[in-house]
Amino acid sequence: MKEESYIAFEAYIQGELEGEALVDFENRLASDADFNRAYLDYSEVSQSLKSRSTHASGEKELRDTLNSIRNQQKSPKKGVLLKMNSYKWMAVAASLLLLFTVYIFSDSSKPTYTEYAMHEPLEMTVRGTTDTHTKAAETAFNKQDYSTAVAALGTLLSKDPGNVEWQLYYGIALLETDKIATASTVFDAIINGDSVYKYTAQWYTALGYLKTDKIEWCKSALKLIPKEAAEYEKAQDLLERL
Amino acid sequence: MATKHSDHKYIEALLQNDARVLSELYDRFTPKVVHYISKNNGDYNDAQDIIQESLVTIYHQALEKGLVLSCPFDAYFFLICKRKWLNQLRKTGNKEVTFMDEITSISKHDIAMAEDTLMYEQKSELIDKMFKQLGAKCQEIITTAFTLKSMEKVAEKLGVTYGYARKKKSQCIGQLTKLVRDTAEFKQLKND
Repeated sequence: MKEESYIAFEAYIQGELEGEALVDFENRLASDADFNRAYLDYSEVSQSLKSRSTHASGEKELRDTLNSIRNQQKSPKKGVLLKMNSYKWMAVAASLLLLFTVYIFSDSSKPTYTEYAMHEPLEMTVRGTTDTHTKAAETAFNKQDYSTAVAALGTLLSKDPGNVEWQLYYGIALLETDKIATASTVFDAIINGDSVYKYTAQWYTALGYLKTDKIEWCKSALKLIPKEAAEYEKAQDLLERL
Repeated sequence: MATKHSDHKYIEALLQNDARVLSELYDRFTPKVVHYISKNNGDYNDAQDIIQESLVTIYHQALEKGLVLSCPFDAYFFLICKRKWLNQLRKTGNKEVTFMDEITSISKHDIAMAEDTLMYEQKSELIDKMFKQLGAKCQEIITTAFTLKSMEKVAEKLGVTYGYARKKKSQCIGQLTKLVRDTAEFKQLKND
């Protein structure tokens, strides 16, 4: 494009073209496709520069707000010390009580994987077939012999990879034997499906993070468990304690 | 004309800098993103960075282009964050990505809205990148022209005549437009 065109584009954007000049310009926009394209690109670039510049301070304010929300999200709730007033003794007593409570509370409030890792027993044999592999898997899992359970469930799954219940228990057994990464792949598959075990798998994903001390990840995983899920209450309970 | 979805309130909250609704946005929509990114070679802080950049992009798009959200915020936002993260991984040469989707129901419309935002962002970034390739004089006049209210003031500040300042401004924006148009990225954006 020629320089004169840029000057005309600018004058048009600023609303400075009048009379014949304006009519000529608009006729050319309508009849000359290259000119039209060049104008649109010019005006888009100009608009972008203008918008970024005009809203730079707004962007900064927004970022400040987002940063403060981000920080609130990260910091766990802290105990708040109440202000003392004129009732000195009562206040002292209250403070002591508060400190004591905080002490007790913080001592007992470090949630651990073991506290939450209570698994429903595996009961496959009551429903239908009782072949030896199923029996072996069930016995091993319920006896908490998880490495045997991993092997047995692995065998079962190689025959019937689509069995979501087996997948879930396979995942739990992996988690118990500290094969966290493999376990989380197994849980992911369940979470992405539509079975009734979807949120149970989500819960166990969170427990995997808890076991490896990835507290922030654990929290994010817990927040994905919706109200209607059976795991919702214990998820909220754990969330509160984290 | 697209109909406004009730989740458009989150776009409004970005424009109004409404901390209460934005907190709600964080509670409702960011855990999924954190979860996805932490599963794919990132950590909590990477996820928070991506979340913030995505929200700032949406903010600018709403101001500049009058974005109207006509789909749920959930899928739209997740798709933007996900794509941004994958782009970042590609830039850092990190190849190992498990393509895990958290959302099972994504409509074509959700995808189209997210694509719009991503395209808007790519264009803005491209303009920004090319701007830095302009000569110092051009950068100065453009920056001054968009900071000060009138071209008279611009001329005064830069110690040039009014006529020269006006002419130079259009030439420089023209030059920048040409630089942008000549990039491979721009051609690709137009073809998409």
